[in-house]
Amino acid sequence: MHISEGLLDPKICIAGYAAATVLLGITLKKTSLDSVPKVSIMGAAFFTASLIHFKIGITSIHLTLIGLTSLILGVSAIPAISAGLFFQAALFGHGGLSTLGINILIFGLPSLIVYGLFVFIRSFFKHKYLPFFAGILSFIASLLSTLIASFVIYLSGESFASLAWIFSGANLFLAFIEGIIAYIAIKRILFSKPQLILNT
Amino acid sequence: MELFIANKSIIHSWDSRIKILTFFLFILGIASLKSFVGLFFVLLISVFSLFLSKTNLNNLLKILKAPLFFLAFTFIILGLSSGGKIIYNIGPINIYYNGLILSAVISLRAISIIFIFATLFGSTRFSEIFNALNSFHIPSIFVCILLFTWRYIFLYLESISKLFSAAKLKGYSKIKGLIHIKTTTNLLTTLLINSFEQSERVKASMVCRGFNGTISFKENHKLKPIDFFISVLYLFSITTIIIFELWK
Repeated sequence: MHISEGLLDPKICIAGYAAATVLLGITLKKTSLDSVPKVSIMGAAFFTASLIHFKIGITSIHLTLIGLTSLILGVSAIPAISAGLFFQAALFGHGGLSTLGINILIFGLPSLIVYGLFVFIRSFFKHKYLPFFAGILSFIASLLSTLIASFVIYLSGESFASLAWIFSGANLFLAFIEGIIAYIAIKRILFSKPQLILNT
Repeated sequence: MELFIANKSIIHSWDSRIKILTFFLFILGIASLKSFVGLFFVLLISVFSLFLSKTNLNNLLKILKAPLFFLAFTFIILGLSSGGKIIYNIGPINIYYNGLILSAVISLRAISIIFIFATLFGSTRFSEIFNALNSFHIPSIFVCILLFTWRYIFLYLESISKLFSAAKLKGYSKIKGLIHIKTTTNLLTTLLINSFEQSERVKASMVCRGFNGTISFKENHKLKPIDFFISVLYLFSITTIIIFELWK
């Protein structure tokens, strides 16, 4: 779901950086000093986990895990995701430097929305239903980030409309897999280490 | 995995603060180019920068893999769907001239940008990058997050490798379908739970050592005239190319 180098107009890149700076600024203010080790270490863990390949049929995919990251790190997921995106661009060429701001928005905005919904749901439902909602929210996070990315690609010009559509279609399947993985992961976390998602 | 290789080159000795700012503006300049002439010159400058910085070509090829895959995908989609003048058709499938030109422009831009940031990361240690970000008054809490994330990435790459090696000994490679997804997710969750427990221990040890959210970096070296000169060369070249393109 990363947008690679060369695709976007520099005006969109600069606007992306400006908006990402605002988003990061707000979320860094809500990130306490105490949580810096947790955010960084779990950010590194998520970065590593996103490199894992899941075999689906004849191909294999690797996931973004933005839904799962936001459920565990809360608002501090934005700095962790930003750091992860920076290193993905620098070490693997996934995404890019000029598109880093836009990519932060593509991953960060859905993770914030989904976290807000999760906090709301957590206060109404028993813990045994949380994995189910985590799966749905993870699917929604992935879907939203695909829609934002497709919209940004479309902004580059009408010729990119078909690219945006195909991009959306391909990532719809990924969103579904992200939902399943979030369900399994949250179920296991609730069993082994519930404070990981109940104290965010 | 890291692009950086210690070397003695003019790009290595270029002050990292000016280097980051200059390359960032240069990359934005490349992103605005639309003509093949301009992009050709920019590609030449990018290749020359790579050559000057003596970047490891094996690592460069590794970071080119993902973007080249995306560019090939873009070529196919835009070539088959952009509309306009048809240059070839095979039955119902039309190949459009506009799509191919647009894809070529995007590819040249992307490859030039990647060569420039390979020059940046190939000639600058991450510690120097964090130091530079600190001097740009990026909030120190974010620089700390970057620094700690960087340190723990390699630790977790090793952890995940050990987890998967152990799983393979137990027959992981042979499982498919939903069981594969469930097993892989459980391995991933083990990594997350272990990292959470480790973060609690690291937080306690940092508090014991008086961590207050700031990291002391070594003092920045004074800027030399050559630092500004190289910056002016890069910015002058991209500005000239942009003006030439606008004027044409």
